[in-house]
Amino acid sequence: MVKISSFDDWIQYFREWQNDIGYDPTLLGNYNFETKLGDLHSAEIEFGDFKGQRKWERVGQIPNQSIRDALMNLIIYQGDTEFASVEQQRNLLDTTPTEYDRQALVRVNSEEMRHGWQMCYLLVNYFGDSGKLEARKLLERRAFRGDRLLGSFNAPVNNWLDFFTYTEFVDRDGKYQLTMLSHSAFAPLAESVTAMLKEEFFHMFTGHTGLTRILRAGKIPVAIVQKYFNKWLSTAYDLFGTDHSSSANWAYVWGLKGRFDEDEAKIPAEKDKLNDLARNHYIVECAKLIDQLNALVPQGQPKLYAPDLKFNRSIGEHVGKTYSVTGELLSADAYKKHVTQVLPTAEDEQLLSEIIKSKDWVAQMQIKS
Amino acid sequence: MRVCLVCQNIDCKSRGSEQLMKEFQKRVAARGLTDVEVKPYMCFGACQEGPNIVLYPEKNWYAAVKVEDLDEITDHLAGGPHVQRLDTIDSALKELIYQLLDTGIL
Repeated sequence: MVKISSFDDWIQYFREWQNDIGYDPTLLGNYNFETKLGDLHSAEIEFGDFKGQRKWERVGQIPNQSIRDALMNLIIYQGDTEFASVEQQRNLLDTTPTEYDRQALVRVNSEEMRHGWQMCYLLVNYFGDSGKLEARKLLERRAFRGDRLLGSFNAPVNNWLDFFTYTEFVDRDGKYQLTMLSHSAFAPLAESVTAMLKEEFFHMFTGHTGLTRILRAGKIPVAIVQKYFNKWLSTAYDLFGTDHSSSANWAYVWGLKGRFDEDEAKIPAEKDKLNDLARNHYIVECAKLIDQLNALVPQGQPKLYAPDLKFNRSIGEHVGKTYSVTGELLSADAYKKHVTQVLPTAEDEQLLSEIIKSKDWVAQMQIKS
Repeated sequence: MRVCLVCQNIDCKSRGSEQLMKEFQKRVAARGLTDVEVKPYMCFGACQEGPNIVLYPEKNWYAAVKVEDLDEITDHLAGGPHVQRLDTIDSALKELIYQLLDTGIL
């Protein structure tokens, strides 16, 4: 078993992880993995029971072990998503539609690796032996084995429609999580995610422009695009956590994770609805993006939409329920059939792979390599 | 024709990019810069540092632009100096987006 005693040990293990998942580091060119710190919103704790106190610079300043454990858990979950996304996307380099897309994918992957690196830097340098152990475990779970911590990050990303939809909607959840953590009482975390947030926007941009280019090209049936929306949005809803979450409540009370609009919020937080609040912001934002995309859907074709919040949920009050993509409760048999009609199937993937061979499935760009 | 692209995606709009673009259009018109068009642009992938204005084909990128910066940017368009303090975007991202603009695809 690998022992992580220092961040240098972890870096060596990170190189082994790249090798193990089959990611050729030469693809990253001269990308420099480094820790980056942004500015704090405030030097003082912004909300919760410790509001007004100076933000904690060291774990030893945190008042009790429960808070330290909750903080470490937030960092672990964030880091897990970063490495997982690279694992999910590692095979796409073989099918890049253009040189621009290859460069964009490499940038996304390198920044996701750096974000995971940043979270492990915090774990190794601030959280003692348990942090070092968790930093090691972040490199040992695998998306393609299905043992990453959150469902979205175990789902397959098999093609570029997957990728564009994923970066549009799953990375957008990342924006929300990072924004909420950017208000954290633990200064090194807040500074870390502020820098990560800057980079996250290019990932969402890649998704939105990719979907735009697909719709402009008009080769992939809109009904298939909708199935990928159903796949990724339904799982992205889960990423905000359960309704009435006690861990979200405590993370707020302890000042570890704020509201998405903590800067602007004028009313006290409804602490038992924090996840719902963030998810609702997200849903409104996605609706605006889908409206933009619908302007490119030809007349006479069905418009794109976000699946109902109750559809295909893996956590929360609707888990295991048989709600349709439009929110109707179906019988078990009807639901079984419905799922094959509204989520991507092997036949859809086969059709996509045929369409993608043609090269004109996505608006093309000729750029220098 | 030279264009000034002002990003109008969700995050930049929440930071006032719509109003910024309208004000910029007024100032460019008031200066009589008839070879410059101020246009909306969907996104440059740098929303956290928005609103962003990209001058094209010159390829100058100004980030976190505020209304009070517009006179200096207008001066630049009229032949004045580059506004260095607003040039904060990393060069690799700039290059990728400039390549995208060169294709004229979006």
